[in-house]
Amino acid sequence: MAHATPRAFADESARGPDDADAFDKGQDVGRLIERIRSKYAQRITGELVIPPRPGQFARFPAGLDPRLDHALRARGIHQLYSHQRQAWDAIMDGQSVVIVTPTASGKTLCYNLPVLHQALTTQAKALYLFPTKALAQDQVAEILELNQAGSLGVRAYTFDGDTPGDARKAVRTHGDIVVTNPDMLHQGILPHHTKWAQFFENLKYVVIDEMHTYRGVFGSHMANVLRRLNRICRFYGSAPVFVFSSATIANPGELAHALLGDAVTPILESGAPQGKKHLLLWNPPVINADLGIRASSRSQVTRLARFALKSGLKTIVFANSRLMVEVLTKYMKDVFDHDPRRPARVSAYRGGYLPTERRTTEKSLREGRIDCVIATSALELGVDIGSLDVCLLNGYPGTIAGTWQRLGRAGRRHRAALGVLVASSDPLDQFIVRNPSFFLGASPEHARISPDQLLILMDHVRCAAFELPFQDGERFGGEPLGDMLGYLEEEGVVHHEGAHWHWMADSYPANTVSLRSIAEGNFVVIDTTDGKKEVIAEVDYSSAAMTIYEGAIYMVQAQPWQVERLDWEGRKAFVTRTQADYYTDAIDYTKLKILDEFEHSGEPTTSCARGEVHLVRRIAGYKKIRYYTHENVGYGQISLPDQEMHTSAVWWRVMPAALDSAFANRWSALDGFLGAAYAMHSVACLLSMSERHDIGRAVGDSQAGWFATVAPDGRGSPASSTGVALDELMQRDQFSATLFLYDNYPGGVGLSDQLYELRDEIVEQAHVLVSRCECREGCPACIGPILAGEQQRGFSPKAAALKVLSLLRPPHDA
Amino acid sequence: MDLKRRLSLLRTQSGHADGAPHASSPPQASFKARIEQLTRPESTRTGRAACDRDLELAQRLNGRLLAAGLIEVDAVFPLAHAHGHRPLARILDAPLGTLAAGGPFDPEGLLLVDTETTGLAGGTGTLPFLLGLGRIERQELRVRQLFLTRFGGEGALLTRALEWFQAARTLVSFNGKCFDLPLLATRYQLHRMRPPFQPLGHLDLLHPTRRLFSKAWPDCRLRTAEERFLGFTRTDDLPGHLVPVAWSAFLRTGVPQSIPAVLEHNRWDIVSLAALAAELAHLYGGATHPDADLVAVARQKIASGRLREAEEHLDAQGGRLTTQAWEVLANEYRRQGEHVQAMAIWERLAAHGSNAAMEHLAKYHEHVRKDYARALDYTRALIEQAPGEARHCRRQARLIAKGRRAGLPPK
Repeated sequence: MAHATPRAFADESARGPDDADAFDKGQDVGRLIERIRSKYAQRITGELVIPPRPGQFARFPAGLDPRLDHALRARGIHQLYSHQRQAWDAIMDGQSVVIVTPTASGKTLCYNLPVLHQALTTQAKALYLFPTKALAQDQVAEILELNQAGSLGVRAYTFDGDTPGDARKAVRTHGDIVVTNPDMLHQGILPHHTKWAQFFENLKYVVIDEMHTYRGVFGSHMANVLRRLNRICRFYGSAPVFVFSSATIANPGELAHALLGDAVTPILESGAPQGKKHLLLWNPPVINADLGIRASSRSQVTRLARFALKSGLKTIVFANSRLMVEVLTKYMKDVFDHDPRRPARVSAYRGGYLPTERRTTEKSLREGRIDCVIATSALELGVDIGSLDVCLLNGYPGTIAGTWQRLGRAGRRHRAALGVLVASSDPLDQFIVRNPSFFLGASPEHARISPDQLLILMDHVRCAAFELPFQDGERFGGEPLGDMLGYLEEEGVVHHEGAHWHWMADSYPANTVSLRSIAEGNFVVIDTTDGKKEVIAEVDYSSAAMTIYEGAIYMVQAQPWQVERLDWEGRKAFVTRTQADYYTDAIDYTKLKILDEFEHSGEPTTSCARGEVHLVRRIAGYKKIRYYTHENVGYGQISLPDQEMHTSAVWWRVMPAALDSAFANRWSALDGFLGAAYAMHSVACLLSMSERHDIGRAVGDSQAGWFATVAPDGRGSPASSTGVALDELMQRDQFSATLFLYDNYPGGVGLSDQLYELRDEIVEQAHVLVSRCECREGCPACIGPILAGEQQRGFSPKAAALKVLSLLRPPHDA
Repeated sequence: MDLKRRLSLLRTQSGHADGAPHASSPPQASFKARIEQLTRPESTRTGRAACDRDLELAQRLNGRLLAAGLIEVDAVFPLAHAHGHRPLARILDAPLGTLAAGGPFDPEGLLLVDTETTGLAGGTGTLPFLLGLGRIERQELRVRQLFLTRFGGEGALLTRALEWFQAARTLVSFNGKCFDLPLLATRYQLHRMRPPFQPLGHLDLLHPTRRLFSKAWPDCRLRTAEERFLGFTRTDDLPGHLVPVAWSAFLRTGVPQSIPAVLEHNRWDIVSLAALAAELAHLYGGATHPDADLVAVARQKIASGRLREAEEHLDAQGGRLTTQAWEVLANEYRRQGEHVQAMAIWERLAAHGSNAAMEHLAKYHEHVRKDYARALDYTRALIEQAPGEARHCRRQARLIAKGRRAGLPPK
């Protein structure tokens, strides 16, 4: 490599064109693309070429502290990118901003520059929040290097669970920049704010990086943590400027505004130069057309990586689990590192490795001594690893934003690069590779939060009351604070006296509030293999019943464990290691009753609505499903208490007449609804940036008279909740099937608003997903697993699902 | 649905074991609280009536209502007063300086501190509602207690306490370094006042107590030290965990039922601090107690560089088994170049048959004093004790050679 740049800072910043070999590399990538295109044309489902873009530069701002000016020049930075300058101007003007620019565009300088300048000139303090500890540490290393380059003397420290007790005081009193994570702010800093008095008094900037990770439940908590932070700042007379930075999502300004509860200026135009990028979507070939089974993504990725390495291209491979990283590493090492006398060309990088080990790998990558790195998302963000030519994704990372972030690791600056997204057989993956336009178009992902979700809000009212007494007339969130405090007074945790609400319980509320979940009743998963007693995971109360019932196969880092015993009251699941070649899927009977309809749209035959529902879920048993083939290999019973929940939902309804005319019988109509629900569920997760368990699905009638599930025989079957004989039910005049997608958190976290807005797109895209699937009668990638004998019965669940989706389609598209 | 009902419902559904109270299903735990809530006398709500109530309580506690929400109770114990086995006057001649660096500590500059709080959680939500202070004035131990009858009195409490804090030179507490003082500092911060502890020394008695007794006792709580060491047993003491409960019940109901007991509990804590400081200092100064690990004390003194004191301390132990501590001390002397002291100790230990001491002496005479004959004597004695030990044999050979070169007659 012509330049092995020492650190991200220099690398990410404006420099003259310096890649003497860029042209040659471009050729190499081009040759590789030609080669795989000619050989595997059928596997490439989509292709995108992003043309190279020259940089947009700006001068250093006038008035920049000379020491900082010097430090930048010492690091080889002589001008700024336009967005860095734009950020400077807005931040120095006292505006809170959100910066959305691609990976490796010098995002960190956008906030480091004003923060360091103010630390040098006005002793201003800054708080940096990163979602994880590792990122925080990288960030500090980076600031320190700039610091050193200019002998700036600015003190930047991380403050997290690993900070030793005797160092904490130094951080609190001497830190100019304190780098931490939201959990630490929530549990370690805010409840002890008096120890940080000096820091808060001078706090001028709060930097929140990776903003797109603060969505859903985590984001809703985060918004409340920021409410508390601002409340404490007001107490100390400071009013910090907030700087958010985010990967590309559809609504960065809206999300930043929701998190902060105040106006935020968006900065969306990157001025960083970009080399030509070539992106391929890759679907492994079908190897069993009947069951829709494809070759594994792993085999495809290793093949592509071999090609790339043999063409002399530096390659990064992303896998979605630590186990997969190890497997892929082994395959690659078998090919390239079989001679132990030669330096290794392949290296793995994931969480769980020691920091020193990771630093070594990073350094080897920067210096070009390693040709291939296989990584988890641990390498997705921030960490500088120099220039790479090819990026391979083994499976869809779950969000489009995350995908672009990973792809951004290849092709920094002026170098041409290739990215390949290799799909697994997961429905989301299949949807993405079969709908290239969806992926390659503008980012459709909306990150939403619901800061006033009552339980979350209440948790933080508690924490805030502990931190400082509330005053009558004060506001916190969108619900009436007085009522909430009154409730807490009845619980005996606060006491109203004069105009103040004082905390009086012997407890530390932040310790019982986890920012990553809603309920406090988390379950712990305890490994009892060989007489051990080791906690290996925690499971949310809300997903416990579906994941850790007795007999369940519970996966931790792709390793299977079997649940031997579930102590529901004690919130414990005891598991042992197992070698099972199957996984388990709970069969739940969900009964929904519509309590209130908030909004409504639709035609006479079909309609869509949003509202509040009451849900009773019984988990009756589970299926054992063999890996790869997805066949059912057995069943088990589960006896757990029914779960009840109030939440909000979106539902689609087809009028009885329309349904009867479309289907020969109601049983097949029901099958169609179940298949459609499966596909819509997948699409809804994708569009709303949600995890699969954030959203639930159900099929029934709107009055909870009956509800359907996938029965052990694979067919949809209604179960009557009112005691009406099923046959009779199916004979009734009113067979008004309703398909529900509901927010799977008590009280809802605002997902239903989003799903309702996206209602037409969900149906439309689900139709695309199913109709373009190459399977015959349905498969796990479109309408869910089906039984092998289905077509012999002269029935196609896939056709039925498509029929339902056509009925649900809005008329103008039909 | 109103907010309260919505919350209760959601909380139950989200797995909260303790569903919050709502009309249809009041949970058992808070039933008492709810009854109290309903029957709470209206008087606690109005300022005037609250003032009357506080006056009445102040009288009952033999104190005075100092400000709205703050009662001050002063009590005096003559130093002749025996707290357990011994009179408090023992603090006057106790070698307090032996307990920690930063001394000597003048008994009249001490300020005994103990708080009663709404909980043990720490952080800004924990309130010390009773601050107990004690100091020696002439021939008396004066205890001053500042008690809050409501949150609103805290500013007055903190201000009032300043006077004693500012007059003091050294704080004395039991676990105050980790608990009481950070908590008080937090309260001063919250009231935008500067915590007055910065210039003060601090004797936290928990640490010497642990050092002396952790081997012999099941725990090192103040209560245990009172019973096993001071010989003081409380009768009808309010258990510590009920203290927060007592105050919150008082706050809710206005009935000060357990409040006198809380004050008494705190007052004994202060008196015990005085007695404990005195007795610990005497132990550090050479007194003995069957449960006390005095070698640990010597080690601590050595570690903090007070070697003469450590030696005096070990001397005072007489025939007790303290060889190891002596060795540590001698090593420390040697490290600091105080060979005479080190030698004296090693010779004593060697006389009792310590091989390590003999080896040290051999080295010392060989390398420092160049007295090869004495070195050889010790080395031969060592070889007798541990025949075949290669390094002793090597030393013997080397010493013989050196002796020959120095013109000593071969033995």
